[in-house]
Amino acid sequence: MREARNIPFDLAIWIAGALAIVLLVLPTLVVVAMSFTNEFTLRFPPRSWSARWYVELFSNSPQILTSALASLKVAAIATLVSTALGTLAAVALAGRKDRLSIALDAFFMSPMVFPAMSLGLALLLVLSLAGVRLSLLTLAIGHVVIATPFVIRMVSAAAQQMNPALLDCAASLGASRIHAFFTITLPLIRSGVVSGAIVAFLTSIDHVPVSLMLSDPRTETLPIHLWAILESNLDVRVAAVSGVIVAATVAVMLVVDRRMFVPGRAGR
Amino acid sequence: MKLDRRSMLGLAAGGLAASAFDARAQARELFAVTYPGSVDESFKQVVGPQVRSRLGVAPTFTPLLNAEVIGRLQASGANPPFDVGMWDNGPLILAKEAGLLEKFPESAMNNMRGLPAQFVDPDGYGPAFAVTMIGIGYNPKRIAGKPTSWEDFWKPANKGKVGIVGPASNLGTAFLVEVAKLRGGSPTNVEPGFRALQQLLPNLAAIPANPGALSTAFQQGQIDMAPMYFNNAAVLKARGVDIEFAIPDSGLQIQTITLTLIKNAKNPEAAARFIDMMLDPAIQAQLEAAPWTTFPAKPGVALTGANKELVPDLATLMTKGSFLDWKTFIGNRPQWVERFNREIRV
Amino acid sequence: MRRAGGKAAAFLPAAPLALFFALAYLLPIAILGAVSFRTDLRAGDWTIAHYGAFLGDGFTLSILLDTLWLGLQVVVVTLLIAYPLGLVYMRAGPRVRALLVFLILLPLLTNTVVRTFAWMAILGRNGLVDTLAATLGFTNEPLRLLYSRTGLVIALAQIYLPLMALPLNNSLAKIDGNLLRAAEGLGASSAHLFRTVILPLSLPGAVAGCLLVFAGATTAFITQTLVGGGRQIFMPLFIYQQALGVQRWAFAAAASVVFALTVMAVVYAFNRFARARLRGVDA
Repeated sequence: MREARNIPFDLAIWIAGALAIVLLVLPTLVVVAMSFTNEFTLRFPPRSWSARWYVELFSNSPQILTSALASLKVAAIATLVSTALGTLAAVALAGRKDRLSIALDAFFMSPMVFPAMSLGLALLLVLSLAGVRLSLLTLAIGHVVIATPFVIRMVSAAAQQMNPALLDCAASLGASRIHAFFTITLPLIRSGVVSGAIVAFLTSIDHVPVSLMLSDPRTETLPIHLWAILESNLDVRVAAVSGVIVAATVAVMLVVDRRMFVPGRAGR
Repeated sequence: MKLDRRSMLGLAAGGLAASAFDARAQARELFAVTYPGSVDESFKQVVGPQVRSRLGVAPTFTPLLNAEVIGRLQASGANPPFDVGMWDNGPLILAKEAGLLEKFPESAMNNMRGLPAQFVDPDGYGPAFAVTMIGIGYNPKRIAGKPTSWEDFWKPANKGKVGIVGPASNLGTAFLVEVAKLRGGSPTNVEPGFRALQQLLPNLAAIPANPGALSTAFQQGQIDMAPMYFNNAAVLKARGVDIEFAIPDSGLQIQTITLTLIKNAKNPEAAARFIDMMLDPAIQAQLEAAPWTTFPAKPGVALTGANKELVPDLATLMTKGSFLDWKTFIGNRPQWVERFNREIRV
Repeated sequence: MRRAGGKAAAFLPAAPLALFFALAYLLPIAILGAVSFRTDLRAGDWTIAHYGAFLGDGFTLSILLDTLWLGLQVVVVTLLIAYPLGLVYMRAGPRVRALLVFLILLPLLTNTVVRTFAWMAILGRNGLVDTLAATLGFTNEPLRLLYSRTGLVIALAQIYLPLMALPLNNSLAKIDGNLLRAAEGLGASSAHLFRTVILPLSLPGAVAGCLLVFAGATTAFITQTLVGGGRQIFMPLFIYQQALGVQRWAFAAAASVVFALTVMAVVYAFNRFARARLRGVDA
């Protein structure tokens, strides 16, 4: 039984918590509702309903689909590279308290807070001065820098829970470092690596500043393309794209949720 | 978890393979700049399929402000991201001066023969495919009485209803110059224009970043009155937005939209054919039709709908509207942009 | 000898990333720094004029400070929303917790541009907020939240809320339930408990969240321009305009350097301050 004097505080917490939840979901619901409008303009709530903009999106919007594909390609490359490099670095630095390790860790984590617009301009200037053409690859390089800190955070959290004695043990039995990494370390930190990869993918696919600076028609990602539409003609297909993203997200989360968060199946 | 990792690898490998194919696909691609708003939309809807079927190349249209196109071209050096540029009269001068453009080859001229001299760049950089008109877009349900002058923006009754754009865009530059002229200034002396903008602040509901976003703001009911391109207003109206177009008593402002080849373009041959194709009477007629209402530069293309209501023919338009002498003031634009930012900031 | 060699070998796995970051992160920033001291991008002489122009101008300085201020406002608002949410999370059972994690992740996964656009529809004239205010009889006048500072802070706070809520909930979930029950058993009130136990123990998560939200909100180009409108100028738009709009590349580089240094300085100072506090908690 809670005491009466706690009621005001508890009530305040529950109300504020409920408001926070409304705030979290409201924009998503609004966008999904608007995407089913039957009109040419976006209003909330729509005056009449239809799925025409979804039809339009998939049948007659090559550039939106191209930019979505570009986003996926960049995110795939960025995820792969940042997960590989980040995992290695996190394993090397895990649990180390010497100055060099702390400095390296701070350096590797710094893109998390370094203003991405400044980084975008820096990359644009370098590529411009070097005469390198913008491509999905140059964009992916920028995204690797942005995404790697998240991989390192996730992996080092997992690696810190590992018993270092296991590696000493393997070494004393004559296992090479590389062999030990693949047979002992990697399986133990697997969940950290997977969540790192997922966060890296999400970071890349939603990233704007670097993509904007390095954007050209060949490298235009979905967020940049959607932004251009919002700035120019407020095409209802933007809302339809949003609806698709929401649906895909929910589907993926339900699957991942089953695999990762159901007790008894996780981490095996 | 294995499945996840494998599918992720597959995705990444697919991405790498796809980028390797990019180089091969290049010869069959065409990259052209458009303007944010209805121009971009009409190119994607109407011109795109024609480019694919007639020229056999896949077009990508990118809506950008002229100033940003120059920035992108400067940054990319010898690897321009575009094959074809689309320019208003002022920025065309800057792009030519900066050496960013390629002259249009005589041999590729076909449809563009017979254009009025006014519509062909005097230095040989390319033809204009359309004429744009700047006037007042307004919501007849919320603005009492049809506006007759730019001065209507300053009326106390229009407090909180007006939208404008800054001089970073050609529309904003033209608006600033027009206002300066009304208030006793000139294209080279915009001081009175800036003073007038200061007085306009209480009436402003929005200052979006570009002219296309003015349409967006109109569509969302955010603004009821703004300087607007005629064709943008026509497209909104066709979509059921409450919007009408009024010609201020100081006259219609006209500009031509010129298409040019970009220097070092990856696909110059297709680019030239594309530019010439834009003056094909059939395409001109398609762009003229509702909802796009693009005013055709090619003589002899019949006017319909809103265009016809505005003027009976191209010749009348030329007498009814006036061109600004962009070369006398386009060089001042960076200072104007800067000053506008300073004075308009909250 | 062997020890030193072993030590170097232990760092070996970090070498690929160190090399990659040196080329793709440090080098570009170094070049950015170099360009900021040139008169022009490809030509010209060395100069400090761009820094003089940026730092000596009240207008540009106020853009910089206002950007930091915006970041701070958004951090405070996200904290105010995330704590109640976190306390609900703490008291919830496993099923509700899973649902909450889902609800927190959902917006994070639905694209910043999309969420920005949703806020335009919610805050705009005759948008959801205006309609609601009119229906509830507060006011029939449009509230003008779109393009206002209030609207921008609310939108950014919602968009970056997950970055605060996730680490915070993580910290809160680690707090020992027995500790809380014991304190309650000794007659501590909820409010007292929050102040003396929960708040200090959740600080590591809150600190991480604050840094992420601050970095995100100060660099959120699209939300700042679309929800903030043309009359609020922040550093990302300013840098973009100066570089691509008016092609003052070297000046834009100088502005970027100043922006980056200031943000990093704020983050560093905040981190030091927070760590000092945390050490106090541990003791």
